[in-house]
Amino acid sequence: VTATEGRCVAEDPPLALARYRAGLRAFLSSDRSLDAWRGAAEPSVEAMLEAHSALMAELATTGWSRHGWPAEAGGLGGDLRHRAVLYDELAAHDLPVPAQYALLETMAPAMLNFAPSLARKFLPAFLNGGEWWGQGFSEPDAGSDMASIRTQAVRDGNRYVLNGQKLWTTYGATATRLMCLVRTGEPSSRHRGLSMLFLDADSPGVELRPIALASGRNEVAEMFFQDVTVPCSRLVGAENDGWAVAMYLLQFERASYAWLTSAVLLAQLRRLRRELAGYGELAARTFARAYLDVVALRCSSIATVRRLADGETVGPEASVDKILLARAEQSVFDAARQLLEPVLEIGGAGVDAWRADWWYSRAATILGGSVEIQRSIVADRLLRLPRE
Amino acid sequence: MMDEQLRDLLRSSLRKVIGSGVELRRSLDGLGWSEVVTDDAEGATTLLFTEHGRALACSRALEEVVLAALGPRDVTDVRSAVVVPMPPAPDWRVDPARPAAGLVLAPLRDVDELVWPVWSGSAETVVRLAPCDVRVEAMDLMDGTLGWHRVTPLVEFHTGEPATTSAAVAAARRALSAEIIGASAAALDLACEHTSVRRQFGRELATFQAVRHRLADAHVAITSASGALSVAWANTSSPDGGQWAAAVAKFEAGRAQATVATHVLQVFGATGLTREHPLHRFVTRAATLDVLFGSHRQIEADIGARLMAGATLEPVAELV
Repeated sequence: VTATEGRCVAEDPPLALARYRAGLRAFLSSDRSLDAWRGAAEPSVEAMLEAHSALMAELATTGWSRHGWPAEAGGLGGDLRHRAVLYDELAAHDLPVPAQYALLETMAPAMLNFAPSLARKFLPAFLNGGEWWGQGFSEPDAGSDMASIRTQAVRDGNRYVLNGQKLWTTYGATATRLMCLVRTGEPSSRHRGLSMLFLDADSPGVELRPIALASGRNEVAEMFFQDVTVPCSRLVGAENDGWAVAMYLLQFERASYAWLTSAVLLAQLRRLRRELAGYGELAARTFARAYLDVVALRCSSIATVRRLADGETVGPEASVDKILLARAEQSVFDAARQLLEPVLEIGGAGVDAWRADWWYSRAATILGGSVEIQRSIVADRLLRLPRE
Repeated sequence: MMDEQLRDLLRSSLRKVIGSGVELRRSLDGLGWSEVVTDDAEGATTLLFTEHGRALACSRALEEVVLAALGPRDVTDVRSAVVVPMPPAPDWRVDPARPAAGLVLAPLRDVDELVWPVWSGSAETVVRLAPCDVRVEAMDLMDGTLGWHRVTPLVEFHTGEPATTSAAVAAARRALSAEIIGASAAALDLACEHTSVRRQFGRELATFQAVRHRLADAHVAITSASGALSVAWANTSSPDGGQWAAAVAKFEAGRAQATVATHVLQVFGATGLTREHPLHRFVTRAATLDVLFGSHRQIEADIGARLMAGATLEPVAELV
């Protein structure tokens, strides 16, 4: 770590994890330019994403967010452990963990693994906050049953023509690029006839519409494709191999995303504690349960993060993390709702953020494979019970 | 750290000796267990106590963990029994002027002395008593196969010798967590076997989603407790000696046994409630172990009180 013009800048790779954390802590606690983001509560998803991309740019310029990513992604080397430490330390220093990092964590590893040339071309702009991408998996008739996807990509020479609709894309309305699971095989081909396509959101024929959750925030989006042309060079993985790409991607969604969320949840609990005026024994117990749910998530997730960082494949056991993640997320915001009662119901200080977070936490048991799907995976593949 | 192959080998050896009727200490000496512990304290302790729980064993294994954690002692050839905190006391913190009742985990046969830890304010000590210095009473335990007895001092406590009682609490909690996990895992295994065979409406019970999801949740609870336990071991060299992480692990194991009991007792149907079927033994063993050194509900309340008083929200699991 070197001081350049009075600022703490990460030096070249690879920084050992302990040194990385020590340098990062020094930077996050001393750099006054970060104060603009400290404890900020943005009034809308759009304003939040804008503020967070500015923070991503700051972290990339100073080098701290480039650790943990390979050179192809614009990184300085290292592995998932560096990224996990970055999320922990941002949250611990009262800074937001940019929401786009959750998207980066799910899509970047798949792109690096299955389409390295696309990764080299596009990932650096994502890492430095220049743009973010939407992940198009769900459709009106393909939610938990992902193999029934109908959005169709028809091959025409060295390009595809895309038609269909995607739904529930997180931060999709303002995304620059989209990673979509589409059908390239026969309509009845289930998971065998799917491919992963990477396309520009401003391609002719793409329409993005935000969907407001009950809180009023545009957390998700729907996407319409009408005769959208996508070059075959934008395939992530081989044609009809999209299911493997999606499964690879989901490992990270159930591991890195879980860890990142646990760091954010600890920060949310600190925020909740600051806002609790008085408390009784019952309040202490509710607060402790939420804290212990977050710690349980971290205790399970840490082994998964280490395994992924070491290049191992994580199988059905990641479903345990996903279930613990959903429990922790809902537990924290249920605790906030109970302990702050009746602020969420009738208003009060900070109500918008708490409401938005409470509503978004309801999605924790639905998105990325509902908790029912996860329990069935545990029953089938870990307990090896007879099939339904 | 032991590899999978060694772990499997040790596990099958432990399964043979724990059920053999020979005193566990002698069997473990025969296996050269102390070397295994020296090489990998976490692997050895977790394996031993998990199998201990699975086998519903009764032994002095927990007392040995506590004695080792209290600190070295130069006297040998003394057969000691450890007095553990009488629930609901979660640890040995007492008013030194009025030592309350304690608990011994086995009848005081062939015992030369009682080791009674006392944690008063800042002083952590142990007091040694002769067996005739205490009154010993049988207890009415939910798990009647445990040989626990209540002991009440009949003499004034003299000033004790220094000992690391806080470290002993943490060590006991880690061992008990493994034992609770073992008993709960055995109960879940029984439930999976039962529901995979028992048929109603022309199909196995385990093909009904309502049953599968209960069993899945029980598995998640046990896996989560195992994760918390290995993190507790990774925290033994943290500034607080791993006490906070050990409390978290004990909480998770205690919560897991409650979750597992709820689900396995339901999916077994009335059979699981009978004296004849062994299921109740695993459920009651895990529940009885939960109340030692602080039940999960007590630990939750204690952590809540500390957090509300301003304690750091420890991340517990950290990559560095």
